[in-house]
Amino acid sequence: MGTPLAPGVAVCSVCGEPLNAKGDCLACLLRTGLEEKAVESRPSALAFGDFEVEQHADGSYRELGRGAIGITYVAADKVLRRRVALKVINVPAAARGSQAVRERFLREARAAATLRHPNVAAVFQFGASPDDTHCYYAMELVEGETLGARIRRDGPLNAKEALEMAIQITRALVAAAAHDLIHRDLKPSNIMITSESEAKVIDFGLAKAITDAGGEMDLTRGEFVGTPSFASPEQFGSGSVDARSDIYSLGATLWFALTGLAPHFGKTLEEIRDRKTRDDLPVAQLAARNVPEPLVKVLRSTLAIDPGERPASARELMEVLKSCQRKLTRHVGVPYDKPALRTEAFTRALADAKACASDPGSLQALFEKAARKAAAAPKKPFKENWAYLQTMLRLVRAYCRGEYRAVSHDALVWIIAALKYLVDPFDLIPDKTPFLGFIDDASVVELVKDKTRRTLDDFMKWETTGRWRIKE
Amino acid sequence: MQPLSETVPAGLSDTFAPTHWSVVLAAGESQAAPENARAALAQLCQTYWAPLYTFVRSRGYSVHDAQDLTQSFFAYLIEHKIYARADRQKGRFRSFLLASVKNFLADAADRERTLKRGGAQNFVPLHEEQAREAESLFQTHHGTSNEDRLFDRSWAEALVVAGLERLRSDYKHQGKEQLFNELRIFVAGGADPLPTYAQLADRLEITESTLRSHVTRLRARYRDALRAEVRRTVDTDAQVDNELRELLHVLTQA
Repeated sequence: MGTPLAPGVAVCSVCGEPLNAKGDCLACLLRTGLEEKAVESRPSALAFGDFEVEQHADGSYRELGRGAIGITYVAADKVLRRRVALKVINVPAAARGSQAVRERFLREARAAATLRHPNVAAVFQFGASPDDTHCYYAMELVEGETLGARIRRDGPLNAKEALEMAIQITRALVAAAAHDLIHRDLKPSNIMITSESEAKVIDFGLAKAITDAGGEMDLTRGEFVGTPSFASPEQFGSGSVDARSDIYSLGATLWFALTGLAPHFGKTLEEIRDRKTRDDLPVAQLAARNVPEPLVKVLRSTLAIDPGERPASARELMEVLKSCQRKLTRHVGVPYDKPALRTEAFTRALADAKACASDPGSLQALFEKAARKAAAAPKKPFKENWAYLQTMLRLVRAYCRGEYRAVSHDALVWIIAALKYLVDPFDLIPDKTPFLGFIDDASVVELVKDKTRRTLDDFMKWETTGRWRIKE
Repeated sequence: MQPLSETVPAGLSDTFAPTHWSVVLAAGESQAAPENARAALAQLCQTYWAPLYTFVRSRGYSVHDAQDLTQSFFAYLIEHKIYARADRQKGRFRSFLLASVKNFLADAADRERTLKRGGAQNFVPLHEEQAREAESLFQTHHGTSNEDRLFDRSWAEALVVAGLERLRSDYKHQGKEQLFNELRIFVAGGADPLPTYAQLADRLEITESTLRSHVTRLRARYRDALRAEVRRTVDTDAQVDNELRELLHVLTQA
């Protein structure tokens, strides 16, 4: 090290050169630029019991999904030579070595593994790593996508599709009831839809096992197990829950399938709990989607606050759903199987948006077309046009990735107006992070208000009535 | 919240990014539009404002005079089309700027004229924080380095800051800013010893192999970001390594 040090200048613990005012080592930073192009070393094989996690060509592990306390991988069963979905739960340091945690997880997983049904992704095997850092279980690998992903991609299902899906899930609940199993975390992301439109429930009977092993949920949510927006009101309390809790969650999932929204949502656990127990169901959302009345009745009964007012069992729910299906089939004039939103225009715009992902030129053109459309109809910007909203979400993402820096400021403002005032980003958009900042930015909000003459109050009215009211 | 104006650089497309200095050189040889050269030069000058300022300060000018002179120098570069005299054989923006600012300061009459005319144009906007950081850099190092070394050191600092900022911004857009903050020590070093992979993996609640993979990826991405930043200031790809070696030598020479 040759540079004389000024008094009080800290040095780098790696190379001994002086650090700059921000505490960074310029020499280390420059040396990194001179390194040979780094070749990522292939991570070592990741194995749990009989299962070895599959790796991509670059050595990274093949993930199916990732949650707060665990990751689901595609893995190979080395003994039976089949592919499985392997859920690996990271046990927090505080819970490691706890015999009680380990026992509880294994007990729950053992019970779940007894359930075999065409509408349930079977659990094959489970265990804990010898050092107690991880619990895992291997499930049937379902080729398809989750219901949540499907809705986000294609928009809500029509009444017929949604009802058929609910019937398939109810079959799974009937089978689970025979084993005294409760799911406890039934929600769109725990339902896989195969290419043959078959619904398969995943993680059946394992929500509590996962929470027990993960430990950390207990720190922030007390005894809460589940996903707040889809959980039953009784899951927020300390009492026991039974099969009627899953019936509520199925109702909330059916609601989401029909509208793209959860019936109650909020920013905190307490807010969601209060809305569930205090607010009426926002049935205007169903009216806005032309959900037939018999199906609205099903939703009202499954989503009753008092478990006693819901169907008493999965079998009873099945009868209710079948009866609803018969009524809808008989009832002439009810747009039972008419696509709810997938109009020709929607299909076309969606195809455009998909094509745009690989063609920057057409993406820019589509962007400008959307902006022109908005500007040409200032009194009804975008109205309730799912296709354009979906297109714009893609555009905003591309924009935020820095791919479209040349887009005009006005066009960006229109997009934000669409996002801020015409849809609820918390429910519609899977990955909010790229543009939440824009939505919160006070100067952009002012611009949007100025250009669209819409306020947040207007937006709330739209949300609660399901209709956009023009402010004169 | 990042202001919108920072997210949408007005009038400059990313297509300029890898070849800023080449654009300026080409304009000097009448092979590119002067407005492109002006925009590219403005962006370069904005990034490398601090090295110029510290150099002017090291010539004994007061804080305010040094700020004014630095601003005026950029206007002088454009007004007198100084970039047209840049020597493609030498090829580096850093050398060109250092030689130009020396000429500028040596020519008192020219300086006076540009102070009156170009100084008011505010060709490169002056940001208070930028000025404060440049002054702090000057105060830290002016007693231990000669003016050329101070300029180079300051240049190296501006370069890595631009590279790190580019990387941070990428991670932020992917919603991984926190991961970047946790792992930047593996690129930027620091006074504290590096944490062990086992300790950090435990704290972040990820596996060690995943952590190693993240660190390897971060280093590779930073390397690319830094080299891209250097590439903006030299004429050919082949000059990137030499520029980095030379700056590293300045920082570590005996």
